[in-house]
Amino acid sequence: MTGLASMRPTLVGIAAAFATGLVIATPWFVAEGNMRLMIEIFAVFAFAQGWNFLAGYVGIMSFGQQLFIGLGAYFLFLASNWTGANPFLILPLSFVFSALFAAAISPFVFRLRDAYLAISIWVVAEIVRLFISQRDALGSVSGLPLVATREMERSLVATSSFYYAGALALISVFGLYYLSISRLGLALAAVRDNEGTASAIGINVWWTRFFGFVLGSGFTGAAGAVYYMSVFHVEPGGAFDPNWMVVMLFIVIIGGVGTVEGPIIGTAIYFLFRAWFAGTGNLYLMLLGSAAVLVMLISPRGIWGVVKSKSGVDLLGARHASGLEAAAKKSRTIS
Amino acid sequence: MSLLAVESLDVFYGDFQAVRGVSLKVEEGRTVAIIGANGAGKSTLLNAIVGLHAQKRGKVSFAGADVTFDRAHTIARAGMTLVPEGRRLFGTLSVEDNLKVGAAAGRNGPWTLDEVYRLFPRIGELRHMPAASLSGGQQQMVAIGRALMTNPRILLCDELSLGLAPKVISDIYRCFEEIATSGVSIVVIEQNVGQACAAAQYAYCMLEGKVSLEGPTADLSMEAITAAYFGLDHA
Amino acid sequence: MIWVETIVNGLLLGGLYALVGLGLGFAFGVMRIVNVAQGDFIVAAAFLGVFLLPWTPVHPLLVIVPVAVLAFGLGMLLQWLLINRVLGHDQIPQILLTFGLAIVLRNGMVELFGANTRSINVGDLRFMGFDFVGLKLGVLPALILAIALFLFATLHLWLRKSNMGRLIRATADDYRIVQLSGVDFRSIYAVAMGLAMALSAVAGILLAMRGSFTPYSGADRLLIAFEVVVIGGLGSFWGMFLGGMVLGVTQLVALKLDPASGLMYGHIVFILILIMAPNGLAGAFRR
Repeated sequence: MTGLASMRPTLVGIAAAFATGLVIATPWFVAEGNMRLMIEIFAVFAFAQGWNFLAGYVGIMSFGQQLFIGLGAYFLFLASNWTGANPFLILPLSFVFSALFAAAISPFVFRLRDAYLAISIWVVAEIVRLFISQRDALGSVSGLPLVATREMERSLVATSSFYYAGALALISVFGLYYLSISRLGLALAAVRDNEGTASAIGINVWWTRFFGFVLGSGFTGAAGAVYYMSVFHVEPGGAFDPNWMVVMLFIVIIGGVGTVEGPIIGTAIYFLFRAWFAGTGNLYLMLLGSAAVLVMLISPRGIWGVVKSKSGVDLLGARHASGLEAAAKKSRTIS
Repeated sequence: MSLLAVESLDVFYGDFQAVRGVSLKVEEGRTVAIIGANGAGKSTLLNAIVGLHAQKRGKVSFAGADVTFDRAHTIARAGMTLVPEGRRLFGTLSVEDNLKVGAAAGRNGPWTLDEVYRLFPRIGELRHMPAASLSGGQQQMVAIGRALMTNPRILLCDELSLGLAPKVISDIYRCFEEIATSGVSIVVIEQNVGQACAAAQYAYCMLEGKVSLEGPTADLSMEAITAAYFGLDHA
Repeated sequence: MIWVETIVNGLLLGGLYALVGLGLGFAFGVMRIVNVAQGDFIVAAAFLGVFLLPWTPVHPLLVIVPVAVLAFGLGMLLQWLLINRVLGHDQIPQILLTFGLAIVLRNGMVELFGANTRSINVGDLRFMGFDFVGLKLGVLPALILAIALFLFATLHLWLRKSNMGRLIRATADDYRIVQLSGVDFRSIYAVAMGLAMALSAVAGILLAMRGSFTPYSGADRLLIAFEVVVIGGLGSFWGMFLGGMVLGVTQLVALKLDPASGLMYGHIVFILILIMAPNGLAGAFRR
């Protein structure tokens, strides 16, 4: 068993190489329409993993990650439209821009904690949404098209978007895995579990949280850019829609917060639900909400947390005993 | 039948076992001391008995009823309460409000606001002050008063002397005789062996979560206690 | 003069905003719980008001009484059946639970009542005005400020003087230790949540009388409540009142200058205060 455990990073590496090959080969045998759906799935999965990283690994809960989806998308659209540059080349800069924005707001939102921190990021998202909605130069409420893609060949656009989305999905799984076993990952886990102990063993709590927040938010920004690039249009009501949070929360909570594998299950369930209930409009959102409530009442660790504890299966071995698990234990023993 | 009977109680913090198979008895109207070094499991034991700590195994009976897994507020209403370690007053409330919270248990008995002020005249003078502004000794008196206001049949006291001056400690322990004569059984936890044994008729000594020695205080020699306290082999 | 009038109107609105924050702030002060569904409960209370209005005797304003009573019961149930089950050191489960509830509630209201804009009709009261040292002010906004002030003062006194108020304060100080006095903190939490919901419900009704609402208004209501509490300094009673005033004045002045801005400038002022006085305005004064 220990032999297998020590070989795990190598095995995960082989799996990563295989998955990468699969993503590279996909455009040759998947129709363009299906590829579009896959881009969406990958991007939404990346949104969810970005939030999962913050909540489950860094210990920062945010109700405002739609801020970075919108920022990443708007940066890409505006930069490309203004300079006429190829959006595929600008895309990595969306990560940088979103990360810088996260860095700029952390000094004051970090003064609040827990739910207050979560909502203050949402307030920032609202400010940006309202600001963009009133500026004609930024497309106001009706939004912006992505001009540069008009002259490009459709299949090239689809394939390029797909590769970006695929890269995001691969990073969401394997990047998160390797990050969680790295030095930074261990520091993050220490800070998340107990700030006092973490600082006692020489970890700078503030900078560790800051770095985690910047990294996770930048990633969400890049994913937002990919998502909206693939639909060629962005508007403030959609990009900064708080319902993005509903989707992220649903996927992560159902699957299991603080696990690499959980959100994969969560994403699958989310898209199945959507296919089945999309016609029902609000009922479908109510279903997502009640599922979140039920999971919190029955098993805050989510589906993957339960599967793992019942069967002992642990694919990646990178599950972080999340604060939720500790809370679940405590709520039973609390008196 | 003993008023309080604990039978082979194990108490856990997650995977760590802090109390190992402790049994003890307290008879009606008696004072019992539990002594032991820091970390011997004394506080954990009391918290488990009064229902503040739920991870446990074994049996706690109070007045003939099994209360092992009862919640703390039910146990307090039945007549067993604790003066917690470090006093834990409601700091933003006034002294009098702290005492009145104790009356919420809804038990009738000899202890009223006036009686508590008679026992501790000093805190009667400070009744309108915020509890957090009092000195350590005064806070300890309020904590005892608050527990008495529930009119307990048994009062568990966790390290009353912690951080207090010797003069204050002896003042507080002097009041214990009067509390005991009102018919209340008392369990005191102490690191201070002399103080505890003087107040109690029976003593248990704890070491690493277990009872290492017990007996009537009159029969326990200082050497035996020292050995049980520090875990020295009987040389 | 028009600016003075705007500012005075902002203060009147601010009293109501303070009341919007009071429920959230009170629940947080007692239980360290943030009910993310509070905004949507506020909207639900307004819908309840719309439906109870035809049966309300004497004056439409009195509809706040039955709605507050129902909200109190609902709050107790919410705490007993749901939130008490996920209490613990970690705040994430209860925050996510209430977030899920908010989604259910919001979309349930859209499903049941449609997305139309509504308001609670208080008849002539809405259009009545009076002259105050040369300023033209509305009777309803002034009445609402009076109600808000009355509720703040009553809650404050009740917490100081009553038996239950004392137990609530003691539980807020140390929920573990109150149990040693025979107090079940879960029951106290249920009462506190009931009160928080009743206060929020009153705020919701008054908002719906002054202005209008849709099933989607909950998010804005929650953000207002949240900003009031944080500006006020997390749990400071009269700090919250000040926080409401700041937001109310900001919003009305901003709407005069930039009619399409909505709540944006209120949000910006909130962020500015967070930068300059991280402990809220109350904290800034205490220092």
